[in-house]
Amino acid sequence: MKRKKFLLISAVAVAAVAVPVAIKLGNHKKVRNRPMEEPRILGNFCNDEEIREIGMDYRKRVPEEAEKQKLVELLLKNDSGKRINSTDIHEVSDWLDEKTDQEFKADNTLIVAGWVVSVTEARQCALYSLS
Amino acid sequence: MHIDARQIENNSRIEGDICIIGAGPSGLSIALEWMDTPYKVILLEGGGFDYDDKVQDLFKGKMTGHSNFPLKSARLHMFGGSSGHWGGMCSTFDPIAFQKRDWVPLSGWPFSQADLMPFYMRCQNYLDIQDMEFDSAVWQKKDPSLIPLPFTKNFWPKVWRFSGPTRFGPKYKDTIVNAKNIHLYTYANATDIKTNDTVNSVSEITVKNYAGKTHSVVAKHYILACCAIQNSRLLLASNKQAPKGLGNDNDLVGRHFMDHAEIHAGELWLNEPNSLKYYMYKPPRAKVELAMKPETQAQLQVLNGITSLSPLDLDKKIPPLSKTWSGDDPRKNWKDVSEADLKARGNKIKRFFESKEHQSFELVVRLEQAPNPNSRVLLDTELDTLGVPRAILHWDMTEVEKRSLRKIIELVGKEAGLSGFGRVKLDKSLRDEKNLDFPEHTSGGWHHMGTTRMDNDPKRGVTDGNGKVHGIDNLYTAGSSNFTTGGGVNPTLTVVAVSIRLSDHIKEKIKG
Repeated sequence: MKRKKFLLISAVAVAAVAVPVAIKLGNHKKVRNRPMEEPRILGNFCNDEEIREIGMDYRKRVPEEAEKQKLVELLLKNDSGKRINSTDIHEVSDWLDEKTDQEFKADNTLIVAGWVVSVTEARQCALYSLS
Repeated sequence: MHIDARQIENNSRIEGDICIIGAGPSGLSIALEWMDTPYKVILLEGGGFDYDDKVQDLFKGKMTGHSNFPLKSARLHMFGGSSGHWGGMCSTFDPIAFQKRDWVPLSGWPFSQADLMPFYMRCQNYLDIQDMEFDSAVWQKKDPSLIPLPFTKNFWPKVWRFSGPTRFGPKYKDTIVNAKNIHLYTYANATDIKTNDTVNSVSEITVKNYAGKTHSVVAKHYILACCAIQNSRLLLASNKQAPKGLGNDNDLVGRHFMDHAEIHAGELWLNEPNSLKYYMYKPPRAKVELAMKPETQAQLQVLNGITSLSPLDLDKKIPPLSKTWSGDDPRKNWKDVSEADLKARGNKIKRFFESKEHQSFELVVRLEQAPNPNSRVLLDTELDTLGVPRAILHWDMTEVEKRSLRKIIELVGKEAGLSGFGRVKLDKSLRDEKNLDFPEHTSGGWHHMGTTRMDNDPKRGVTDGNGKVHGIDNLYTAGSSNFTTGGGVNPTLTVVAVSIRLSDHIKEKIKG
């Protein structure tokens, strides 16, 4: 009986520590399957509806970009015209993150649906809203 | 010495060297400065040592323009004044607050922050502030777990220190009552200021109370320290010899009323939950808020504004102050605010066990208001029970306040992105830059300022650089009514500092 109780308590204790750690690590390792339409940082706290709302607002503000192919083209190019040719999701993901960082550095940001975001993030959301 | 003005013979004549009208933080700190001097100080307080609703009712007035806290309950009319419901937050006005800024009309105090600094230091004892260390880096050295947000391009961490908060009433009652040269008269409401025939020198003050007694006070120097609404109200109402009111030749008395608009203006969402410990209120240790750099203010031509952070889930549970502090009874308002806060936060046990880390924080901006002649105190036709016209407050904010508010939150958002720390979402009311309305939940800060503003030019200020009313040799105003501009922080520390400075000035003058 005592052994059984000990095992039960141990299991609960291990779970109490392991579950939050696993959740936390899980968050860190979040893999984006569709990085073109999943802005990394916004994805940490915006739900689908909010991402869609940002995207719709951007399309309303910049109607000339309100089309899938146009958005993809713009996302795959940087400001100096360089284009990423890889289709590897990790490489594309890093490319978009780098573009986002550069845009914040260059003050290339805007307010859409209330969020202060980079142009790349806004375009990612716009693409998501079209999917 | 304490005298209840209800108990002395009607039409008494009270004489002294200095007459201070109002026993709040400003008037009491001046009185304390004069303790044990060879001068007889008459300290007049309209109320008593305890709350009295009949006296409090004298502060009742109408409001137009932007909604603010009711005039009857916004200030306390009793010995100790509004320190009785003060939060205790102390910080110095930034150097830029004192400077002339091309983009802020009528800005530029008659002295600099450096000039005021010695007086700030003298406030420490009066306000029981543990120390006067306002350097964020010093606090970080003492406690490395105090980490400011890496928003360094446009912001800097503005440090707050805390008073107990000192309730001037209970704290200084015995000291004042036992001081030999200070004659405190309670239930002595100043209702009129009389001058000589040429209206350049005050000859006496009329005081009344609801017991039906009227007395006169004669002194060499008179200091109005009744708060920004009442200082201007009394000057305007003293219009028997000067039809526009005393000190009002240039139609400035009561104008340029300022308050800090306090607005829940956005949300900061972090990549990872964080306690943001340095931004949380936990006296006596320092807390910081996001203050805009002066060069950013200049570049963007915006007003100063300080942004505090509070966990979003908690903030959403607390009703806006404009709802909880909405009645005429300050005691009930205080109770309602405290209960709402406790209900949201939970008891100590709940707080101990809940996580200190949060992913989202409410951004609350305390916004400086530009001096604006249309934002003002006027006299009503309705009289209070002592026969003085009641005050009307018209609080007016303009495009520059709204633009500044939006810009501050936008900049926080840019810094959050630049540092990779998270993202910011603006309040709905800020999303359309053409919308100049303030959100419904905007409240004042109980920080009434500017109605007898200091400026050495009588065409720009009611009082000179010391607080003397232009054109009247022996009349001064003290407290936040004298503020030329309002800065971005709570005013009590600066109220006391400026009052001590005025006190020194009068001491020099009375000697000569």
